[in-house]
Parts: sequence; C-alpha cells; structure tokens
Amino acid sequence: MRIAVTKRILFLIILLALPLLSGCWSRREVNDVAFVSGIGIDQMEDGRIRLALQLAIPRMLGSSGQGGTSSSGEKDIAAKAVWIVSESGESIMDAYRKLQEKLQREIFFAHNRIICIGESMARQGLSPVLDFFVRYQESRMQSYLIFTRGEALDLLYYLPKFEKIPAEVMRESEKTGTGIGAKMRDFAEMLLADDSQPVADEMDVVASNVQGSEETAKRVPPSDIEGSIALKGLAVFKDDKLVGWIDRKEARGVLWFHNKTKKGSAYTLEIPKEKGGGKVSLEMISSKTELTPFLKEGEVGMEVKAYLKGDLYESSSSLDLTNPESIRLIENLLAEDVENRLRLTLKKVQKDYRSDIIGFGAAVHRKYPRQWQNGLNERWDQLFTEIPVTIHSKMTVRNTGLTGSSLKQKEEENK
Amino acid sequence: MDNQLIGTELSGNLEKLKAAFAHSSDIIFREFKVGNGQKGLLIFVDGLINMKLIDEDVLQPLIAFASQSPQSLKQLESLVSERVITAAQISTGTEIAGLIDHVLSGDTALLLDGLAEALFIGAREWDSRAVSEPATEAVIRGPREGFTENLRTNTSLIRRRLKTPHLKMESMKVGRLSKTDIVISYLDNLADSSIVAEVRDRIRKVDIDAILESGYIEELIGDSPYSMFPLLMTTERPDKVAGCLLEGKVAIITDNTPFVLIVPMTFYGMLQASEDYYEKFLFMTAVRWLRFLSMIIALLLPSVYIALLTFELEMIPTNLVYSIAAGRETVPFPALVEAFLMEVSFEALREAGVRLPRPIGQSVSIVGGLVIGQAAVQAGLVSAPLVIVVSLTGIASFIIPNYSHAITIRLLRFPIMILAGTLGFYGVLIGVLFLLSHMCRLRSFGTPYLSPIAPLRFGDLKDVLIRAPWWRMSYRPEGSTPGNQRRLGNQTKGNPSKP
Repeated sequence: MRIAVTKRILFLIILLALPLLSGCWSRREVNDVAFVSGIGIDQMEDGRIRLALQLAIPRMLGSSGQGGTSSSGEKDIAAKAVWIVSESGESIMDAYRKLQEKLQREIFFAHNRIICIGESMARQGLSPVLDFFVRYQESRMQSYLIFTRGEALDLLYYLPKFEKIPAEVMRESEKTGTGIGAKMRDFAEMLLADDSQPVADEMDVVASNVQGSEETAKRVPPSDIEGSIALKGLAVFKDDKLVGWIDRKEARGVLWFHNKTKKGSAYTLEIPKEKGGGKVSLEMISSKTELTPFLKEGEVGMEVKAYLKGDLYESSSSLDLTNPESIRLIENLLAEDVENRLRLTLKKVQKDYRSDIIGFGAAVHRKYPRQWQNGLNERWDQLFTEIPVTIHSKMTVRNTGLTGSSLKQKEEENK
Repeated sequence: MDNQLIGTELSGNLEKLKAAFAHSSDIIFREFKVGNGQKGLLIFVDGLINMKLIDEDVLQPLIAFASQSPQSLKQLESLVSERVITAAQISTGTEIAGLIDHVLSGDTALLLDGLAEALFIGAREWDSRAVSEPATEAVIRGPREGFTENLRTNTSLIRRRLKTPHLKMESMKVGRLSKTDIVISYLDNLADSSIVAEVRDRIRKVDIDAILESGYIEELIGDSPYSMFPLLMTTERPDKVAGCLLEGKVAIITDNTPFVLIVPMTFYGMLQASEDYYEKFLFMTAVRWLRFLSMIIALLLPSVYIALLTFELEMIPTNLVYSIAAGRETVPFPALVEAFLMEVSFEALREAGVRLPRPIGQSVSIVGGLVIGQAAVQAGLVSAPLVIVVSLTGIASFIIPNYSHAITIRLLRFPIMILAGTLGFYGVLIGVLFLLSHMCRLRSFGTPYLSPIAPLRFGDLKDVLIRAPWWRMSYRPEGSTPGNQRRLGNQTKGNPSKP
C-alpha cells in the first residue's frame, strides 16, 4: 500500500516535470520580435532584388509609449512609429536573411498588412517574388498586394496623417472598396487560374491640395503641399508580368465587370443643351453586372447586362425632378453613359492590353465547362481579344434627396 | 464508567457524577427535597438550559409536591413525569454514561433518591445567532433567511418549507468527543432509498474525535478524496435545500454550522443559484450562460493570454498586438512570470480581504488596488493589458455561485498557466482535456459528476444550459427519483386565462 502510494506520487512528479523537459523551443515573447507592417519590393538597376521592410516600433504606438505623446510634431510621430530598413539580395530570402543580421529582434511577417511592388519589378515578372510569400509559413495571404509606378520604397516612406503606421493607411484605403482590393491570395488565384488574368490596385503618392490660381498658391505654397496616398487605378497583368496601367475612370469599368463597386461612388452626368443643360450628380447605391456568354457555331460571344441603382444628390440643371419624365430622362442618359464607360474599358483591356482581367474567361468556363476544357482554354488568350460584346445597362434613380426641383429652378420660378 | 447503571442510592450516584464531572465549573448539581421529604438532584450545564423553565416547570412543582405520598417508587416516577413536571419534552434512562451524554447535550437530568432511573427534561436553550441573511449566498429576489449554527433552527427552516410527513429527519451522533448531532434529511417518496442508505452508512462509519464543521463530513464521506472538485454541495440557504430535496437529493445538516451538505451533486448544479428559479426564465437563462462563460474565463483567460503572447503572436489582431507590445516594452519578465506574479498577488489580496477585520480589509484593498493596478504598470513591472486580464479573471471567478467550486477553478488556473507558458495552446488543450477526463470519472454518491450532459439525459437538459420556464418542467429530474416523475399537474400551464 505504502509503496503503491509512493509510486503514484513519483509518477505524478514525473508527469508534472514532463512539460518542462520540452523546454519552450518555439517561445517567442512579444518584445523579442520586430513586427513587419509593410513590405516593399523593387528591382535594382543591377538586377538584384531590394527588400524593404516597414517595421512597427511598439514603444511609439501604444498610449503608454513614451514617444506617443511627445510634442515634437505629428510628422515625427509617424516617422518614429515605423522604421524602414532595406537590403538587397539575389532572392527575397537572401535579402531577408541579410536584413535579419542587421536587426536585434526577430523579423516577424505574420502581421504584415501590405506588399508593395515597384513597376520595374512587376514588369520583370512576379513569380520569383510571390513564391517566397506563398511558401513562407509566417507570411499572410491576407496582405494586400499593391503596385506603384515608381519605387515601392517611396510608398513605404510616406508619412501619414491619420494613422501612425503608413501601411495601415494603405490598408484602410484598400478597404474603402474603391479599388479592386486584391490580396495575396486573390492575386495568386488569378495568376494560377487559366480563365483569368491578375489585376491589382495601383497606389501612388498624390498631392493633398489642388493647385489653382496664383492667389491659392499664396495661401498654399507648393512647399506645403504634402503627399497623400491614394488609389490611382489598376495594374494590369498578363500572366505574372505587368503590361500596363488603367486609370481611375476606366478602372471603374473593370470594377463594374467584377461586380465589385461598393456604395459611395459618385457619378456626374451632363444634361444636354436642348433639355436645359446643367449637371446632375448621383451616388451609386448598388450595381450588378451579369455576364452571359454564348457559343454559336463555335464562336464565343458575350452579353453584358449592367443594373445600377443610384440616389441623386446634386442638380444644377433646370429639370423638374418631381416629374417622372425627367427621372426617366436621367436614367436613360445615365444608362447610355455607363455603356460608353464599359465600352471604353473593354477596348482598353481587349485591344490594348489583351489581358482578360474582367472575368470573361471565368464566365465562359462556368457556363461551358466541357468546351472550355476541350480547347477553349488554350485559345482563350487569342479569343478574348476578338469576341463580340453587346452591352445593355439599366439605371434606376431611387431617390432625389430632400428637395424636388433644383434651387436654380426655384429661383427662376420666383422671378 | 461505561455500562454503569444508575444506583438507587442518590448519594452514591452523586459521588459518581461528581467524579465524572470533576473540575467542571459549568456543571451545576442542584440538590433539593421533594415536598414529601424525598431527596432529589438536578444536574445540568449552566448556559445550555432555560433556567426559568426548569425553575417553574420542574423545581417548583417538585418542591410543592407534598399532598400525595408515594406508594411505590415505580409509581413515583410515572407520577413525577406525568403529573408533576410540566415541561414538554421528557425521556428516561438508566445508564450513567447516557446521563452524562444527555446532560452535556443540554438536557437537565433529574435523579430521585431510591429511583434507579434518571429523567431527562429537555429544556435546552443557549445563546445563538438569529436567523439572518446568508453572507455567502445573497440574493436579490428570494427569501433572506439563512441557516444558523443551531441544528433545531435549521431543521425547522426546512420543515417550514416542506409540510409533508414524507420529509424525514434522521438523527445521528458523530464524533467521539464532540458528539455532534447530524440530521439526514430527505423526502422518502422522492429520494432514491439506496442513496439514503449509502449516506447513512458512510456517516455511520465516520469515527473521529470531533466534527466542528460540515467540511469534516464532506471530506470524510465524499467520493474521490483526492479530487479538487467539490462533490458535495454546501449551502446556507434553506430554500435551496428544500429545492434539492424536491429533486430527490439528500441533505446532511450538521449541528454548530450553518453549512448544510447536499448529495448527490453534479458539476452543473454548482453553477446554479437558487435565484435562478425565482426570476424570469429568459433572464436567468442568460445569467446561466454568463456563468458558464465566466467559469471559462476564470479558468483559462490568463493561460490564453500567456499562450498568445509567447507562442501565437500571429493570432492576435494586428492593432492589439501593437498596443500589447507597447505595454510590454519595459516589462522585464516573460509573460508567464508576469501573469503569475499578478495572479498570485491578486489571490493574496483577496485572501487578505477575507481574513482581515472589515475596517482594515478596506484599506488593504485600496492599497492593493493602487499598487497592483497602477503603480506596477507605471513602474513598468507589469503591462496594462495583463492588469485587465487579471481583473477580468478575478471578476469572473466571483460570478461562480458556489464558493468551493470557485476556489477549485481559481487553483486550477495556475497549473494551466504553467502549461500555457511552456507548451502554448497545446498545453492549454492538454490541461483542459485532463480536467475533462478527470471530471468524467468523478462520481458523487453514484451519480456521474457531469450528468446530465455526460451521460446525456435529454429530459434534464432543460435545467442545465437553460432554465426552462416552470410550466415546461413537468417532470422531476431523472435518475434521482424512481417512479413518481411528474411534479406539475396537467392543467398547470402558462397563461391559464386562455380558453
């Protein structure tokens, strides 16, 4: 009995000591790591890859951090909250290891927000770059992929006003939904699929103020105009190589094709002279685009139907908005305009870039899976540039705001 | 002294008793003469009897008992007990040992010269605390009565709630020196007779010097003596005892303590309060969920914090990890040590608050709050997020209604914290699995500790995860009540006015 109890106690002690044996080999305290908030990748002139990391400095971030409330100016706060380090190498891994040698804390990729890639790198081909981020267990597929016309490093160095961490600003503007918002995962999927081509957002530093007359220049001297990061359009890829950029206006068309427009995008329409002239502005509430491919005697065609809904928020026209006739007029004009916009986009991707970033291939694949497997997929690169597209759009004005006729019209009536 | 019988000679008895009660200043020997000249002796413990009652109902009538002369001694005894003494409770005995027991329990012994028998007059009365609100189980809605240290008061509190002859109160005496009265209470038509027999049997086997509190019994008769989990419920509330008896459970009432034991008890029973049944069922269901959540928080939150901060940094939301990292920048300890430091000081603070006299206790909590809450953070010894974690854990552990259950959870927190600090979430998982398998093995007087979830009994689930409205709980819990299942009449439904 006595021996049994002793044995039992011994067993318990061994059991309790067991966790200690394993040690804490993967233990990683929060203040032993350097959090990467953003990554910038550029191709250098000698062909090497430059990896730039934007590291968050926690000491400057929390409310209990000493630097957080210093009076040295907002620019300094942002400058102090992050530290940009860079190193060049033959590969990403090579550069990353070299960087690690320079840093005392372990580089930690899991909280990375954005990966920013410069134009020269993108034109060169992305596969070698992406491989690391897809393969490396610590990197997150949820990071946004952003392209810039200049060097990615410039974007990382941007000092934001609203957030302490620059990468956070870029993530926030991606989240507004005015861009395509491609994450690592989306981009890799588009790249790997045979029925689509990759597309991602373009982001650049733009001026925060509009320069006008010389009078404004006095108030806002050019030296005071600061940069602001903004989505400027889309980067269009053919396979893993950048083939060109699409500006804001045509980018809207791409988003329509992708059904990705979110609430909040504004649309301004000119009313023709014979109807009184002026302009009306609408805010899109919802838009839905249907892609209906058809196969006729081996020929592929595409029918696009766009349904849009909007609220009218501004009118400088003399239209009486309480009259259903004028609403119908606006709706028709708008539908026509949207059609034109879509055509413009279509021409750009179909004829200029010849890259299917608008999901036509995927639509055909979905509807005709067998035909797609039997040859369509291989010919698609060529086919895409040739297929005839018919576009119909229907616009509904849901609401005209709190007042009926425009102020201008009321004024005229009062005279 | 054992088995000695009371002699007929009063002086001989007096001598024996004086020897037995030597050096006991609280034992009073009152010699007197009955009206007819016979010598008499009253023995009692000063302070345990109602003097006035003895005086008026025993002593005065005896001394005044002159008119009739006794024919025989046997007649005298019945005469005295039937016609002279007007006290309500009377019994007789012939052994010296029995006499001593009776006297020490508070009875008054009456010996008459020439009579080899003692009369025990039950006129017990001693100072005891009045019935007051139980300190450990306060309620917003519900009776404010709590048990006291007086056994009889306690049984009367239960009896007042269940006015049925089915309510049984079996009396026992346990403790070689303390001779503590213990009452086993149950409803004989609802309680499983095998459980009652088991309780009776286990208590009978207890052979110990003294039972000073029901905790002794709890440890001596409970299953799995090494388990950390309380397998018997303790309560100070008569309404809770009555409620449990109605579910076929057995209550063990111990003299000199307001804490009554209830068996068999399950894990989920520990998370229920009597108020659950008095307030609206929807709200109390929500409160039950809150309790489950609090129990998990009290058990695991510090461990999760440690595991996240030492192993799984990528699982914390980015902005949160930045602010935690900012707070921890100056902290010299690893997360495990930091958390241990804080948890231990919190527990110390809590314990200090319990033991200290109230006025000092308050100042301790202020100092402790300031030192732990603020100064430690400002000095950079611990990080602010951890203070939040520790206080959340503290609050959560106070939500668990049963005190012994709460301290179990509090203590179990520490081994799991060590596991979290060495193995991360894997360790937390090991700890939780170990606990679960241990709880699955536990039995409380034959009832599985995790029932009715494991083994699953569908009928009883409506009083575990939710508190079903009374008009839906037509049947008594299974298991504890063989036969006689229905507790609600057919017509008793919600909205009786509905045609």
